[in-house]
Amino acid sequence: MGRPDNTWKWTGAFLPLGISFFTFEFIHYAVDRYHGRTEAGKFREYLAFILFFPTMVAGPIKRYQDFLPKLRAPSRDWALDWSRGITRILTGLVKKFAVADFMTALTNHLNRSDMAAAQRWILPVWLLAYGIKIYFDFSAYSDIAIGSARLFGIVVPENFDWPYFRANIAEFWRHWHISLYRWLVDYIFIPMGGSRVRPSLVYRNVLLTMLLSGLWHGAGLNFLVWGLWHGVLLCLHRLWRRWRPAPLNPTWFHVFACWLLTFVCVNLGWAFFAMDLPTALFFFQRLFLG
Amino acid sequence: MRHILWIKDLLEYLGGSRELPPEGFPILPDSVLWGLWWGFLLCVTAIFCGQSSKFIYLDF
Repeated sequence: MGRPDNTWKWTGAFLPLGISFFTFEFIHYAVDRYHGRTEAGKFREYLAFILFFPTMVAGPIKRYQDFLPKLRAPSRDWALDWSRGITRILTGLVKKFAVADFMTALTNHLNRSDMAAAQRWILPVWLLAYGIKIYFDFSAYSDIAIGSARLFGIVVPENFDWPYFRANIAEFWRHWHISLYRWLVDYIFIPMGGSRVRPSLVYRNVLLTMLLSGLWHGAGLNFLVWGLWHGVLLCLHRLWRRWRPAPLNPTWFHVFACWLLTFVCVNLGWAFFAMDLPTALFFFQRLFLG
Repeated sequence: MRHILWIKDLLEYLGGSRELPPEGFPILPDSVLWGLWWGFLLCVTAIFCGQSSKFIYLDF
């Protein structure tokens, strides 16, 4: 933190840990109270909601109406809660240390000099390693948070449900960082009209929601492009589904092709997440043009 | 497909995100199974923990 001579220009401002997560819980509470969708609760219950340490720093983003009944009557099945909670925490630790951090040896190469010197075939391997790393890293954190909450007899929302095994981008987003996705839908997408407006506005709503999602992840231009990438993918998926509705009995080949396309698109998008914009563009230049 | 779903359920149970095991599991009594499983997870954590780094989502 430092204040230069120009006091209006505050470089390196201090931000509290987890601000982007608990801010979302504040907004959720304020909006839901305004619309009468949740009770006020007692002040100490509100404090317990916003200061609940397992989820305060990096989610999952809770809902007051879900949390309050569990706070008032936590589970008393200590044996089950501790068995599940400890298992979940240990699984999270293994995912973080043995997989996510192990991938760092590969993802460290995602920089301009290493990419310039490397052979082309290794570039998608490094990007795939980043895709594996970010999933195992964040889902590990969620496991530890959910497991810790469970030790108090409180079940908090899940954040991941096998997202990389989904066969389209909309399904991917319903299973990746679930609590954030639901927040974005409830407090940005639906208030803008959601999908109950004319098609052109639906696409606008999708794009704006994902752009905001990108901005939330970071203030850099690369995160904005990452959000735009996913917004465009979701719009294309919507357009495709209007033209070719999903088959009732898809073949194995169909499912596999859809999965592969989704997996490749999501992983290409991680380039904008892992690197600043010029470096990401250089990555694609090296990958596709040599 | 049934086998894939069974494996998914088993992994979720061993990972702590599912309350009940899939049909036909466990073979060992609960306490023995969990003792072995937690011991294994702790060993893996201990082996790999020297390379720790911060969580990606922590400073958002």
